Amino acid sequence: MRARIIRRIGWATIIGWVTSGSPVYSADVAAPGYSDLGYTLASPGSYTLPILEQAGDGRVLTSTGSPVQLHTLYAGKYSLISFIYSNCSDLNGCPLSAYVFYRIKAEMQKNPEIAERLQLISLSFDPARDTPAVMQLYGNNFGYAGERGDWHFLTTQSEKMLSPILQAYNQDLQRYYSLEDSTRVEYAHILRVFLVDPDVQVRNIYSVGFLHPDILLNDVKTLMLEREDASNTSNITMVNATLSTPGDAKTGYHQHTYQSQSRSLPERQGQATSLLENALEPGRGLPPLPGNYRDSLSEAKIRLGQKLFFDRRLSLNETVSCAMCHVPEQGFTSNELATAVGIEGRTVRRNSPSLYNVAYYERLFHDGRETSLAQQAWGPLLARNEMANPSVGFVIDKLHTLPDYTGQFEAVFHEAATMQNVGDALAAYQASLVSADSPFDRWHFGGEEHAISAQAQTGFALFSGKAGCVACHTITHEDALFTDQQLHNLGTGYRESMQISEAPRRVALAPGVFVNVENSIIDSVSEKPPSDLGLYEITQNPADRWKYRTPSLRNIALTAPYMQNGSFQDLRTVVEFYNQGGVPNEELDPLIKPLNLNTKEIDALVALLESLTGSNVNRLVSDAFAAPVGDPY
Amino acid sequence: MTPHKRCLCYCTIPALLLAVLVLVMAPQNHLRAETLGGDFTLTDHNNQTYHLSHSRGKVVAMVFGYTTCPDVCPMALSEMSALLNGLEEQASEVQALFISVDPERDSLAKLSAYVPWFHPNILGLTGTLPAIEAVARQYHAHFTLHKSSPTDTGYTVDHNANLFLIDRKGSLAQIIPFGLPVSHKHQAITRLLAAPE
Repeated sequence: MRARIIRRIGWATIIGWVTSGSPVYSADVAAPGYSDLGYTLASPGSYTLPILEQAGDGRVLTSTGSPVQLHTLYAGKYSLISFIYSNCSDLNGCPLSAYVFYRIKAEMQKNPEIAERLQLISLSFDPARDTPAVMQLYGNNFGYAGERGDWHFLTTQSEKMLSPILQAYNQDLQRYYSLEDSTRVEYAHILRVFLVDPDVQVRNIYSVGFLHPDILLNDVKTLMLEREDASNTSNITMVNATLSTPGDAKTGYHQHTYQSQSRSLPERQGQATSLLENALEPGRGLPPLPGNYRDSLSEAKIRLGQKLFFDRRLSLNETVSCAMCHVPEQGFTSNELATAVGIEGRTVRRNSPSLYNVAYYERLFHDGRETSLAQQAWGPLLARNEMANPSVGFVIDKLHTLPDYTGQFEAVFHEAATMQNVGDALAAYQASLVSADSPFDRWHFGGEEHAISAQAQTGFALFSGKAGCVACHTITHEDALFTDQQLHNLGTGYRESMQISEAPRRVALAPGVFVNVENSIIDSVSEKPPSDLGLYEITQNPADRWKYRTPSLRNIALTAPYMQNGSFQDLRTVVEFYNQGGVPNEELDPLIKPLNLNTKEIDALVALLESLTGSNVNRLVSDAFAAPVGDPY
Repeated sequence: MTPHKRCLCYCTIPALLLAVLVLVMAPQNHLRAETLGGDFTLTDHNNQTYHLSHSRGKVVAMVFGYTTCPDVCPMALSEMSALLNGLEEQASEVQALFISVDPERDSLAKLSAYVPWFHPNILGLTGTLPAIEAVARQYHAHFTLHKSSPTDTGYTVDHNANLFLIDRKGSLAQIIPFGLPVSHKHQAITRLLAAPE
């Protein structure tokens, strides 16, 4: 037996244990899991458990002998999994995990929610002896603690099936060969219990010193609260944005149910709405549309602009439309690309800006080089790495010859297509993409107390206080554009120009398949990154290097990735970036400095940002789905 | 003491041996599940032949151990004693067994002095090493003698410390892991006693 661990237990304690019916060991011998914890744990939900890794998968056998995949078993439940074998009798080993699970099973009898959402799994790593029949006899014990809650006793078909599972869970078996008998091999392992969440991610790993029922249950409750928070927030904010989704959300790859959400054109069924009405009644939270757009709008003009917007024939080789980078169901930007890709796969150096509420910007493009949408429209049409039309006349002449445009410009503008009215029509459609009346607006401007979560309300206090976001993402008493219309240096451009990046880089080979590659290797085969100096390119003033326009925050939950180069995949990363004070450089905006936000405060700011999704986004996306797609083939 | 014992916690298994056996004797592999548990014959501490079938009609509570075991066996036997006492008059319907995994050192004299000390109704069993190994294999239990040399007499033995419960008909009904409360084991035995024959 494991003499050296238990030998020191006095007879008195043994007798004490036997007579009292529960183990009483002196604290220096037995693991803490056998006794009271002796200290108070932080309350559930007051801390977070990071995702450590994806839990390993493998084919296991239930105690009735039927095969099942571990991931199938995990999906949708919280799981505690322990590796055991029924011949193990090290006091602080498998019996400890059995004892701790036994106490959790007893807790399940008192707490139906835990019983419902948590399951216990004991997986044997001795398939030769621990047949399903043995696991069943072993498992018979744990029904006694009460009927409520699942405790699975699993084994595997063979060492061969087991070995990849052990590897995935880092359960290194050490082999020891006997001197007398070379066929006898012994194994030693380190006790570890894993906490796995319903998304099959490992959230905590417990060794002997921390394997205590109170600690495990505390962590399980913390994860449950985290999920409730998340679902509360998304219920409030995302209910109006069900149509807004990238084809590949870059999550859920590990689930066998994963499938692309890309919609084929026939599946994009939508219903037209009055975009003129949408533009003229912006909804709570936004001021009236600026006069230069408002006064000249008509439904017909908007529809002509929409037709142009979705028309692939407006590019040199008739393959690229505006909507292919400003994808309606992806926040009128492109969720799947950090920086846009133009005609024939040509590199565009910046992230496609969202078109929601674009009419409110006083300057257009990330570097603010245009001031009107009608003029801006010609930028992408003529850029050789975007739609690559060789000249204005090339586009206008083409429109004159396309039969489906016959009479259309004349009906709206009383003249044939010109450089000016093509821009005006495109501007009209984009100006109509007004979206407000978000949960935040209903709370802040409408006084609806429960329109956003308490967490998002805390987020707003930080937004306008400690974090100081409001200095650039401005709001007034009546409305909120969330932009100061200015350009600022945060260091994201500086970092890119100086090629400061963390090595090695994570590269996706296929959905869910990543490799880490050294930057030098990537640089040796990839195109030289285009230089980008921001506002300096327009003003030629060195102090304007790496300044980019402050974007509005409306619908920001729909417009990932973020920053002028799309370098941040999610809002949390953005908030963390500001929290650390941007990237220091000579021209860094003085407003950018470390914010000293804690994790909860960062979460609260993210919750606020997620509450800025307008009530009409489904309507606008559905309207876009209903629009004709100009496709020559 | 082998080097791996520095680990705080570990368990040992000569799984390869069994895996090889299983591979070599494929039919046995097929039979493994059906042969779990079952009858065996050993010698008790009174030097009488003991067949498990002698205890038909009783619930059998069985542990593996050895008399020079420094820790788990005394605990298991103390527990067994407490269980028997706790069953009161029903104790006569339970046969407690202590199977020695160390026949070399556990002579009949030693067994008969050691085992009844815990409780007069516990029967110590021994036999030849192959006979004991056969019983262990039947119950998918396992033990290893940690001898540093053939003449070593101060060795320890790694062995299965679970409590095996066999019902009145002689079928293995439950394996209770070491470390669960006595109250649980008591409950498990009374359930088996109450089960219809």
